[in-house]
Amino acid sequence: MSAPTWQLVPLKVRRIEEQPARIGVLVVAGLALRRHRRLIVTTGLGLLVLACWTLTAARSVAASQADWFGADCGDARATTACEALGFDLTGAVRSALYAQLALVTVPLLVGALLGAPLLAREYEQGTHRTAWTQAVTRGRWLAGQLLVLGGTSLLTGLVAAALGVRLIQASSPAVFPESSGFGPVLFNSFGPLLAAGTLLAFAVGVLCGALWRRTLPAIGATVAGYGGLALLLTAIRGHLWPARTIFPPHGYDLRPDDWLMSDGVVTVDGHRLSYAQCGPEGDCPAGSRTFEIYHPAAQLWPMQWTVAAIMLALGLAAVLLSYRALERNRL
Amino acid sequence: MIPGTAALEMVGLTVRHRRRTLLDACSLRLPRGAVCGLVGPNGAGKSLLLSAAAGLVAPDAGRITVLGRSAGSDRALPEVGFLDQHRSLYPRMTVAELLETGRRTNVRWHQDRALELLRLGRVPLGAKVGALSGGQRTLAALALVRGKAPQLMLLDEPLAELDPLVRRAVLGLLLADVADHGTTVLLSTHILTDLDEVVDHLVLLDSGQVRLAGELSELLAAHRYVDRDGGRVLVRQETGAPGDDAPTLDELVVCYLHAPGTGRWLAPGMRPDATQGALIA
Repeated sequence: MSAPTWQLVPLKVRRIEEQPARIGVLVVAGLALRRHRRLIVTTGLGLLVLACWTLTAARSVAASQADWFGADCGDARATTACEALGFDLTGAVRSALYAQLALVTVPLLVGALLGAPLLAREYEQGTHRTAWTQAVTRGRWLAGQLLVLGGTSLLTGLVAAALGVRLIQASSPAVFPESSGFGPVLFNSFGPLLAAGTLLAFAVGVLCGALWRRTLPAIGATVAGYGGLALLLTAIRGHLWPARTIFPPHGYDLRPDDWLMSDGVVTVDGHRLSYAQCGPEGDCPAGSRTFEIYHPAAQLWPMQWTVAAIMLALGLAAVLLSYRALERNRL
Repeated sequence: MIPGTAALEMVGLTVRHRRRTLLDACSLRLPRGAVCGLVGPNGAGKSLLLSAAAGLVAPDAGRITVLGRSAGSDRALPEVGFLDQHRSLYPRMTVAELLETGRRTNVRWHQDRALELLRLGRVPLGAKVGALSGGQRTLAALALVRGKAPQLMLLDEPLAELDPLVRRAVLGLLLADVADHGTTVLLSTHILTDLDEVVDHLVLLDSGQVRLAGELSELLAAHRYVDRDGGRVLVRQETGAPGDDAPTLDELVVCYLHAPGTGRWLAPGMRPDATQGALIA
């Protein structure tokens, strides 16, 4: 038996540091849930009131709508019965509009009451100094808060969105162009846009709180910031999907659910003139065809989803910026 | 914990706010197990220095590490307890809920150590934090720090609102932590007499600068009175033992504050490794 041969093998010595025991985000979320329980219950009660109001309005619109179509007034609106039904329907649609206006303010309220105070109040009361010096890093702390209050915002947005859909569907197909979902107010009152908008307003609120560090200025900035974004997106909504152009034999033949962007006549040499450009008496050049540029009713939901996607992207950006502001740790 | 590292080390720590320099190139090294008093006039930057060590304020220049890790990092946070100047606790939380929060947001929790402090001030567990008296609120905040059993306690004016009896008892508990668990304590104060018997290290902060830092015996040994020009003046000497002509701690601090031109002096034991010897003005 030969003697063992020894060989020197280079070893890499590494100091292994024990991983610190981490406090999970869910633990933070549990504590946040308990701390914000009043706020969450209040939000729920607010939603309940809104739901009662909206559903009542929706029922009366649906009833008036059914009566209107049942009477088959069509173009013969002159009969007194039809006049009365039309009057009822106008009233119902108007009271529904108030509920829809309330739905439009849901994101603003969520941003101002759930989003903006999330960080602003911590800074204002100085409690961030206690919260961020336990074993939880501030990033994980914020994640826990976002889980609870962001989740509340999401639920609120979804409920409001569903209520808005119920209202829109009650007055569909629209009898008047004012109850078309394309209108600037109604467009913001339902569907994916309202849910995404609520999340965006919440995120904008969190960011404003991280930047201003005072509750009231943060609320003001949130209302202005989200309001500005919503106005901008509402203004450009018509450009997000290609409008359709048709050359019908006569103008004014769209359904109330369609969204007319512009109309007029095409002159013989190919110029397009709006009816107003034709002249003070509306005497359009002879031999010209009419044209209509419009968004068909079928584009309402795709347009909603598009704006909602933009809002979600903006909201995500706001959350990421909030994290950066939080980590920057300035005095 | 990273063995062999200081409890707290800062090198050239600078914090500015709106073009004002609030901490100006502060360097010092606090060994483990020290009980260090942080003194200085109002606005000297004591609270800011403690906040920076707690990781709440990022330095504009320089670096600050606690227990060998960068302040406020994932690994530093579980080992550092911070009592802030305003005892900023959620006012609507009860004391019991506060302790529960401490238990759940820390890797260790010693309920007994927290309760020990609360008992000193007869703080009711069911009371809302916002309804407590100033002293009781301090005790509640301290209980949150002590229950965490940190290796480094950063205490901003921990004794300010406590009555003399409770003050002694609190100091006794903190010193017991130092003796039993090797805890390091850095506490700021206005009142030096609180500290004479308690602290073994002293840091004097003045206008955002560390003017004087060291172990008490080192500090006293490095200064003595001499007769000059018909009066007694305090001079600094690099070597020597404290003698009859040594100043008291009070006199030393007051003397430095009254003579801003005397520069800064760090005893060798509190000089950060990187700047050994470079900080004697």
